[in-house]
Amino acid sequence: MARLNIAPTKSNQIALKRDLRMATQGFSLLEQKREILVMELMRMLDRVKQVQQEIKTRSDKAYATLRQALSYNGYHHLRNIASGIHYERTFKDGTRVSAGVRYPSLKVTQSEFHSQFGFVGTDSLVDQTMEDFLKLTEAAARLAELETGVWLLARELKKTQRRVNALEHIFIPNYKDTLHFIGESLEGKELDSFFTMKMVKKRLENSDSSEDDKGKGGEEL
Amino acid sequence: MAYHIIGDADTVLGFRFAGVTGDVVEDVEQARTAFAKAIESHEPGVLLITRPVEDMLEAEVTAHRLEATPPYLAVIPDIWGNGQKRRSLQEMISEAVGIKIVESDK
Repeated sequence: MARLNIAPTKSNQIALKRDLRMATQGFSLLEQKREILVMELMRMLDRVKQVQQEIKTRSDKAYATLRQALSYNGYHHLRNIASGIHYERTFKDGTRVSAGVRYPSLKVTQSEFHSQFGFVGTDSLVDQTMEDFLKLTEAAARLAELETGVWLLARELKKTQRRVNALEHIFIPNYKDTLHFIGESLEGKELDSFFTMKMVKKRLENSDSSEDDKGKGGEEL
Repeated sequence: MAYHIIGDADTVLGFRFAGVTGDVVEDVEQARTAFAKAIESHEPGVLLITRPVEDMLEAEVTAHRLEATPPYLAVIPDIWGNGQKRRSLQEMISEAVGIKIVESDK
């Protein structure tokens, strides 16, 4: 395993211990965040599925009505009518925050269905088409909002995953290894110095006793 | 632009009935220019594209999705019944982002 390039000293050991504690804390926090993101993502995906189903039924209905309207009124006539249709829409673009991710919340208010063409020359199918497509666009806005959220969440999840992996497989093992190394070498140094002290003491004692001997000898002489 | 649709003539006509502006595209080149023009503004709004257009512009659409900036995309089936999803959102995400989303992710 890789070891950090740090001198094995007591102060480094203390600093590293603090770092390791931080990393472990951060790891568990990120792990939690990741779990929350996954849960949120699953929830959103379920909702996307629902809205997609809704869009499918609504579009099937709308297209069927349009086809009917086309066959009764003719393409060019319908195009003329359609070119005069205008709906007022207000579009609010807010942001929502969940699990630390900001994602958009759209609020589209569209004006209610109302007749925008003369009664002469059009039939109820045209009205029906208009209504069906209004419903379809409303659902499409919800889908757009949800899908954007899903992509943002997925991006955030990826980022979190990468951080979790980095902490789990690189930083924390590195710190642990280095701490182990520092601990060992500090112990070794301690033994070393203990041994040296013993040696010195012994030598001092020896020289003391020999001096004593000399001194005694001198007195005797 | 609150709504805008890119698709074939008949689908676009349908959405005209809901007052949605649209670009009629017939081939990849037209679709590409229309799409580029639509996303360039970054105005808040919903950009509707039909499934065939999505298939034509796979790279561009995925790039725009990853950015997740307005206009927000919604893919809808077109009038010809080309609405079958070929890939689920999960698959697209695991392809583009590189993560697999499964229930017990551990």
